Amino acid sequence: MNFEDNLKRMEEIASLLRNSNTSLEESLKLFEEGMDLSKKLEDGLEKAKRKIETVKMNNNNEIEIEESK
Amino acid sequence: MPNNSELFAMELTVSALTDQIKKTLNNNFNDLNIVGEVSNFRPSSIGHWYFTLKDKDASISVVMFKTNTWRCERPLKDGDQIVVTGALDVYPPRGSYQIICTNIKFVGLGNILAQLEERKRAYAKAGWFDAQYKKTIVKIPKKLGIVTSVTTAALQDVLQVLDRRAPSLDVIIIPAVVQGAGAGKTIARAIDIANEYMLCDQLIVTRGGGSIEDLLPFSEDCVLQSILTSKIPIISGVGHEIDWALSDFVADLRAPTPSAAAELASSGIFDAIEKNRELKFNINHSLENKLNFFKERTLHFDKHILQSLILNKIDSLLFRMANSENDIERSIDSKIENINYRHLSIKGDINKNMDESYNNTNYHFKDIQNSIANSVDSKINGGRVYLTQLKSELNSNVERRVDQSGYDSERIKNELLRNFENKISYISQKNDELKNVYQNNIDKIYQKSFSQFKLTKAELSALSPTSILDRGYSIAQDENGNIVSSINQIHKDDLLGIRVKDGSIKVKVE
Repeated sequence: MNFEDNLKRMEEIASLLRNSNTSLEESLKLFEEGMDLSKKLEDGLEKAKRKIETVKMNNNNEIEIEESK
Repeated sequence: MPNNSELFAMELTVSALTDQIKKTLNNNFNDLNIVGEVSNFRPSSIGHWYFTLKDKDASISVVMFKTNTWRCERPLKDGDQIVVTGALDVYPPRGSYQIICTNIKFVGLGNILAQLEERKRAYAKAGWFDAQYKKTIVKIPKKLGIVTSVTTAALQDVLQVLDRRAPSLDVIIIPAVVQGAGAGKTIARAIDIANEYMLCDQLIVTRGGGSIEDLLPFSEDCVLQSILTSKIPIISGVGHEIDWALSDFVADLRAPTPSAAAELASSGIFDAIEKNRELKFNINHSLENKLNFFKERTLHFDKHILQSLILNKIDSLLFRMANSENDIERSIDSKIENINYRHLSIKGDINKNMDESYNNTNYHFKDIQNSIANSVDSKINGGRVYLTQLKSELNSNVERRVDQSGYDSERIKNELLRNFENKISYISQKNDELKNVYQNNIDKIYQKSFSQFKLTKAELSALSPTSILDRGYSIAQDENGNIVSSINQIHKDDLLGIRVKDGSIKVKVE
């Protein structure tokens, strides 16, 4: 699942949790799933360290990709 | 003022030299009228105007102080062709010289700008800016490509914005020269490389502010061509807010500055982060509400109530058990009563027989009767003991399995009853057998006594007078029944009865 799908699923979960017909057991399951998705999003969008690369040309006029520190 | 020979003869401080230059320029360059194009126009916050006046081969800094700008018919913009009136001056702290401008006269649009505008119209006419060529900006890119010079502040601005808004977004820098001759070709090549190697899924083509000439490479045809044919969506962010380049119009999205380009490129991620926070909060909040709701509901159902419910259940089971017990007891009691009754009636029968019998058998019979009574009593007692045992076994069974249904106790009860009925019929049968035996005995004794009686009676008969009659003798009796044993006892005409074996003959004495 990509980030947008994850957000969509979280929206579903939030609305299911607001629904008074959702059982406690189901709610706890949904909550866990939601927190799991939220963590995935956080990890992917905020926590992961950014990779910065720079394209270089070598002597044969081929590209080389160098990762900056 | 020292003359030239004196100047060359002495050692000068920088200030002294600068002072000499300033005096020379101030005295000799007054009331100048200079023609040129406005470039890099920078109005200061307090109202002074700074700009560069230039032509094809040279440029000079100009400052117009606030006290004079009001005279100008409109604010300057880059590319304006003007005539500046003023004097040369030196600014000692920087060792730079500039024109202090007192008046400005417009002489029509600057050439560079005019050319750009003309080209813009041409590209628009050719359809290069058409919406049909615009690609959709990637909402959440996996890798953002940046085409710019690695040494400029623009790149730092972009990275700073990304740090704030999309801290995890991977970035690939495709370096290009962004100023001067040949710069356009490197920009176009960078865009082509990004596409050729699919280095990223979203591109920013950018540089910081500069003069209109500095920005020209972003308007070169080769750059516009590369942008138009790029498969990767491109955001163009060139110069300051007021600046523009033709790349802005061909690109899929135009940003006023490098920072703005970075903001547009990261807006999807930024929104996703915000949305994630909001949804996380919502989910937490909703669950909390839910838990509170269930907590409130469980308040009315504490463990004491549960306990009393269980106790009630146990009580009802015990009650059912007790009922079963009572049923069994009642049934046992009625059976015992029944046996007692039958026992009594048997006893009565036997007693009746006994009374009709002889005394010697009566004595014997009493023994037997007692032993029957004992045997019946012991059987009944045995049955009772057995029942008690079964009852306690049943109790312990039932107690051990309070949770089981009444079916078990019903089954045990039936079993018990069946057992008991077996015992009863066994006892009854035994009783009947015994009764028969004693009846037979009594009959035999009776028969024996009867034959004895008959024998004695025969002996007695042999001695009787009637037996003499049988042998032919007869007995004479008078009218009074006295036996006539002498002649003297009778007279003529007396009536006598002669008794023979089978009757009596009446005779008259002659």
